[in-house]
Amino acid sequence: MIWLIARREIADHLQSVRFVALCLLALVLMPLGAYVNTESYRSRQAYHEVLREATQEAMESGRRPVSGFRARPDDPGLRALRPPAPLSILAVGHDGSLPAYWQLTIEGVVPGPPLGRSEGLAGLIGEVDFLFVVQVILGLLAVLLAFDAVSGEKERGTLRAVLAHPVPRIQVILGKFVGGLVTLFLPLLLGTIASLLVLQIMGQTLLTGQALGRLALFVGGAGLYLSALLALGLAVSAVTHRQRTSLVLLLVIWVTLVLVLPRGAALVAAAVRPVEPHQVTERRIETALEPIEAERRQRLEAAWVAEGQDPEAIFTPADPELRARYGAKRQEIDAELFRRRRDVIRDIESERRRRLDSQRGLAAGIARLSPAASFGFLATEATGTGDAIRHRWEERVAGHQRQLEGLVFDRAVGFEVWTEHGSASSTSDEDEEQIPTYAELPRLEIEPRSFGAVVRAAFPDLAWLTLFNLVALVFAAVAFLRYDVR
Amino acid sequence: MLEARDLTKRYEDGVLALDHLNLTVDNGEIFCLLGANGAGKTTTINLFFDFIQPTSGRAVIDGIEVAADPIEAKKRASYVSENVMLYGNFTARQNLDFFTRLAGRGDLSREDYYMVLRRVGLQERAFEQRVKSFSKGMRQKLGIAIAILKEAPNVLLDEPTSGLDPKAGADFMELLLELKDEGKAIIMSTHDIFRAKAHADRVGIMKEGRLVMVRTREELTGEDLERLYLEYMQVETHAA
Repeated sequence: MIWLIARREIADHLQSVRFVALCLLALVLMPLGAYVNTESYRSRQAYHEVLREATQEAMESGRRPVSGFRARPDDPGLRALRPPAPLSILAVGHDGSLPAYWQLTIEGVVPGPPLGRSEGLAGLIGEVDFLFVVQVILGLLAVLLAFDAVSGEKERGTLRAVLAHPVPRIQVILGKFVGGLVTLFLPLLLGTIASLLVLQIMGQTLLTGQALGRLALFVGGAGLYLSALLALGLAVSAVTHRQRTSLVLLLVIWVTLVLVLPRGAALVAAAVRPVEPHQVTERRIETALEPIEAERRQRLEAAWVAEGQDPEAIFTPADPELRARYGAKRQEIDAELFRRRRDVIRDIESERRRRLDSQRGLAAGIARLSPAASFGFLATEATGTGDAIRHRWEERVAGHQRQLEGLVFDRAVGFEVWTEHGSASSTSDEDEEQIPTYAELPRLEIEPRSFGAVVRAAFPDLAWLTLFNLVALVFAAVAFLRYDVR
Repeated sequence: MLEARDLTKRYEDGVLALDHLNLTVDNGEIFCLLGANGAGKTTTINLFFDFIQPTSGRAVIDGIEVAADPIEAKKRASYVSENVMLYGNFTARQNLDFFTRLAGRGDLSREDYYMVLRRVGLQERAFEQRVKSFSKGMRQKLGIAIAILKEAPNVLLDEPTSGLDPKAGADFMELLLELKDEGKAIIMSTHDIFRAKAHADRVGIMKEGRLVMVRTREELTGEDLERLYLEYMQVETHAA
């Protein structure tokens, strides 16, 4: 009986204007999005290649990074490069907005420019990718297929005709659910196939090993999300007696769940757990560094005076012996103070990051009430473009920075000399050999997470979407069992 | 056989729609329920199909209490509404196929459907037409076709001829008589006093949820049913 009712539902849906219109829209947008996002991915890849070549050049040069306080703030050999995620074609997520690299410096990690900068309207109105089509277009189709499933049939009188037959109500509502689900899967599967074909033609296949598993997780998550909205639509239809009422109610719910809640969650989190703007943090860092800078000047002057020199003639040592003695002291003072500077910067920045993480966590928690947001988290987890990838990079880069501090930045070999004509370095070959060459430095390589790890990370969202499905479906069934068909 | 035993329905808003109805309709009998709007005719039929739950009493179909086992009970009864509403995007044959399968009959062929559609008087060209283009008369014929194919021993009809033109109404009643001759127990609610008198084996008048009068065909011979009906309406109103 369930399949009989499902078949009728499918046949009815396939002939409906709402299905044809939204299905066509999805089938146009999915492959088009795949094409545009592949081009966009390739441009990010090209930028990454340019950066990689500069880093590679340093690696192959046989040279060593300049150490200590004289280290270059933009040394291409001391960068952690982030390649674009191939599956960003399906869900752009953070892939374009995260830094193309993190510059490792004596004062800490400095994020580079974003890997991809949206120059079109996407920056204003959001990306149109596979994720968007499923979340918005097919999500809308799900509620439009369900809104009149019960209330509409009651108004048209067909519900009485059906229930006058020996069919349990539970089978009727399940049949409607299955029928709606099969109907929804049609554009999802056709759109996926069309997108994969476009990618195949463009030579950007996703049908390989891990990518295939991640794609399956994405499509599975999409299925769960769409069925959750369908079940919710059935539940609303089964508690209303006019299709117009259920349509209005469902559109309000859809707008809330898909558009308002995910964005509103960020607003609420920002109000509850505010984080100061980056510029304010920078100003705080400057202020916190001022006493260290003053102490440095004071100690350098004291060292100079201790050599019996005139404080007014500081920084212009003509005598080579004096220069060497003073330089060594200066190196010692600077090495200590740079470490303190770095600690101050790190403390302030990590405090800000902690607050930001807390705010993001709250926003994500609130947003997850919406199955649309939950599916978004799941999808970006599957494509490697979500919040987890940002965390992972930031953590690993911070670890890498600590390694380089021990190997390069804290080895303040040599010292600077100051003359009337400016500064110059003074190091010996012996000093230099303490520093590893670029090629000898550890490389930061972040392998893509294993499929098992991705599934584990996506599990909370998978579980939540499944629970949402069950609750909505049970609610729909109970409401329909008590439904007054007069 | 259709039985109502002290069948009572009071809605949530306190309205007493049916008040201890006692009624038995035997196989091969047509029982017509007359009464004004809101008298309880449709409520009675709703209770036989488990569309609503009784407040007290029982609706029984062939010995099966509807509220206790609605699925088994509904296997034994067909329903034709005042305005048969079917799936507009489906053809007449597709609707027949769907509803007869719902009734548990998956053994019918396209020719079986055509045969019954001819029997109810639907024109051949309408068999494969979408139902949304059908007139009310055509839909009522399709409704009775579904009832015929269900082969249930009981039929309940809720004002099935209302709004039909005289010819269509007469054709419909002919089909009903055929079903009666097949031994089905039939309850038909109607406002059509003349058809009730002409075709019913018994006629009941309902007023404010109660069955206030029942007469057999023989008892009605020579009686003016319309006058009787109006009298009952007035007497009851005055008494109230």
